Amino acid sequence: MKKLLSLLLVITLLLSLAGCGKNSEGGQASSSTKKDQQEDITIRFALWDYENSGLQPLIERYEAENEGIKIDVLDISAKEYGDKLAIMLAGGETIDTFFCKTISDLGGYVTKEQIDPLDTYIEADKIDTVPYGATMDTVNIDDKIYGLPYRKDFWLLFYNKNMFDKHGIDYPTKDMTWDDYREVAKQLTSGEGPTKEYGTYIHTWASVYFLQGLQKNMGDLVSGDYVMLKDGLELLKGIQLEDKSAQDYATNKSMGSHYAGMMEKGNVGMLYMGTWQMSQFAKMKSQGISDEQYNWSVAPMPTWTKDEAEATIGGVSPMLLSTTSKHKEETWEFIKFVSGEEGAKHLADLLIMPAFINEAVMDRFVQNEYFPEDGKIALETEHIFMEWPSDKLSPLLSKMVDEEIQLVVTGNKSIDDAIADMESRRDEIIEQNK
Amino acid sequence: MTQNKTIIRRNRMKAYAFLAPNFVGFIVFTLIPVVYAFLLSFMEWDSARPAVFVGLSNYFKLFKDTGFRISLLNTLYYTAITVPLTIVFALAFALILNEGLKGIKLFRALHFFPHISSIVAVAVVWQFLYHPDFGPINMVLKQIGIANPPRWTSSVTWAMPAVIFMSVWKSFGYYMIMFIAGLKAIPIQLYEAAKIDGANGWKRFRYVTLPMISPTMFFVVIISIISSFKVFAQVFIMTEGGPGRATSVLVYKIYTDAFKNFKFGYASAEAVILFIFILIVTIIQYRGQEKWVNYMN
Repeated sequence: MKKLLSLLLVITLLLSLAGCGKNSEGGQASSSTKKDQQEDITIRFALWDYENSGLQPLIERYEAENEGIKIDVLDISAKEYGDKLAIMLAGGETIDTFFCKTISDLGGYVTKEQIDPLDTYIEADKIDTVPYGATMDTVNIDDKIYGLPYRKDFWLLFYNKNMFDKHGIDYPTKDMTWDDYREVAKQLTSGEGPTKEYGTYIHTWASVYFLQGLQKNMGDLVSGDYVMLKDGLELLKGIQLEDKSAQDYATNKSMGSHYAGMMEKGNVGMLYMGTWQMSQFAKMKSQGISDEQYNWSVAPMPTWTKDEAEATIGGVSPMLLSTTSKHKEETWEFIKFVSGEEGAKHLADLLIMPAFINEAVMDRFVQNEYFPEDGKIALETEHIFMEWPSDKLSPLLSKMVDEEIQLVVTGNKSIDDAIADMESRRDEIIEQNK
Repeated sequence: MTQNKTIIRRNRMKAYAFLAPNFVGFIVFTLIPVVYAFLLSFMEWDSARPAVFVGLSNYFKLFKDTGFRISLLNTLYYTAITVPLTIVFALAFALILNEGLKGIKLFRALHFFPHISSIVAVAVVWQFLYHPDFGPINMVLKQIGIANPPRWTSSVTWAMPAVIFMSVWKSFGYYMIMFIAGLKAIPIQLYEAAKIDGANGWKRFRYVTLPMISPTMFFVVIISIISSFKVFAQVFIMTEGGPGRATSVLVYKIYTDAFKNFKFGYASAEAVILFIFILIVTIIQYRGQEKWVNYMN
């Protein structure tokens, strides 16, 4: 009896193990036969925040216009996008095309040979790259074009007209300097405790704290001198800790504050943030949130001197072609559609800044009924500095810069010490990653 | 004789059958990855391109990496405070909750509760408790007259104590249960004999309780040191290693090097160093146990 029992146990165990192996094989086999039967080509497309991206109608339209092509969207949350995508690509997951969220990741995809250059496709289809403007430079690595820019985002100053009206202050113009910004923030601040109204909101991202440095045009954060950050850090520290006209960094960080939520509550006067925020504010208006509660508009970023040409920071999100794609021709057609004029028009309707800009696209943009009339000047920004250049050291340096900025704005380190430490830590990172 | 051999063989078969599920899991999920990580530590690998053998270069780089040094020191700091504190709390509560009071079981369960709740949820809640301006902890401190309470997770000095305190709160219940089990096993006559000999409460604790629970103590010390070397989740959620690098611990550094910077070889080398550290500490403890652990029972 006992013998029988143990035999039974061994057999079930072996069976279950063998079963595991068989099952997975069986699964693969059945899915491949499925593909053969349908004849449909499926393009797997990875992007972030699909639901809020407004891309769904565009993709549905593409599927309707191109019979036999199915777009399989792989939706990844914005916060995890870079990490998760990198792991999936490394794990050999089939992804035909994907958005590159931050341009500093692009270099990594190229060195890891995860994306194909598009030059041959662009030449064959005689694509005119003029409407993409300077964004084409960002996807150019070693004289090869990796990806077609889909959207470009740059930073500008959002403001709540209600707050300005209440205090009788003029709306921000393109002449606004950082000193003006600090002064206006002070004037807009009133009250105490939970009902306090703040002149501005300063988000916890490192880019919020280093963009003033980049505006000085003293080079980028990989090779430039970190002294460029000094004035900006002093300004922002002063606004938070001396003037108290913005909630301080530590509070924002530990509360996990969201910049948009802070503005929408209606008790914050100004926010400098990327153009991606326009579509969300516009959506709010279209959902019937009244102007009395929150009436937004945009102005160009403040600069250091009055007559300085407008300069801001920004980024480009290109759409890339995966090396492992089995349907490269079809995928290229899809990339061309989303990143080309059709896609751009769709984005403009959503108040998302496309990379492809011609007159038709721009008209669609500014004529959008939810775009504030007086906000047009903000879109004419001349110089856009990249937050991080496409360099293999960018991800490492960006963590380091973030840590040192954090120490400054939480009052743990003086600005001069932090800048000196950033220099020495950069040397170390370069040395360690030769 | 032959009868005997068949029985032995049959028993072995049975034993292997029962062990197999666990062993398969161990080999697939532990042994192979460990060996793999060890081999990777001699290579440079970014997860996409093929790995390149680089000899000991990862280890040499480690010695020059200030980030690694800081993480190592932070880990030692964390361990040096967390382990004694946890044991003191666990033992104290075990002694209190070992009495035969009414409703004591409920209290035991309550103290065990932090251990079973998810570390992620707990860390998020504590993040709020530590909030410098609106957090309950600082509100209480202000009420009792401390004008400038620590800014906890946003202060370089206080971030680590904040993480430590939370970790102690989270884990002492688990060790408390072990101590209670140890205390229950002490024969009552020993206390009676000590009492007759005129031993007071402290002496009974020192000369009866402590030696009798020394095997439990030994186990708790080893387990808690190992787990505090492996601290990760609370740091990851509460501080992300910050402010600056004030709470960057070894496992957090390994995580960022591997899954943020994609330097798998380098991260594996760091993991090997962590393994060696834990191994040395554990060997020292096994050597030292003869002096203080009492297995007489």
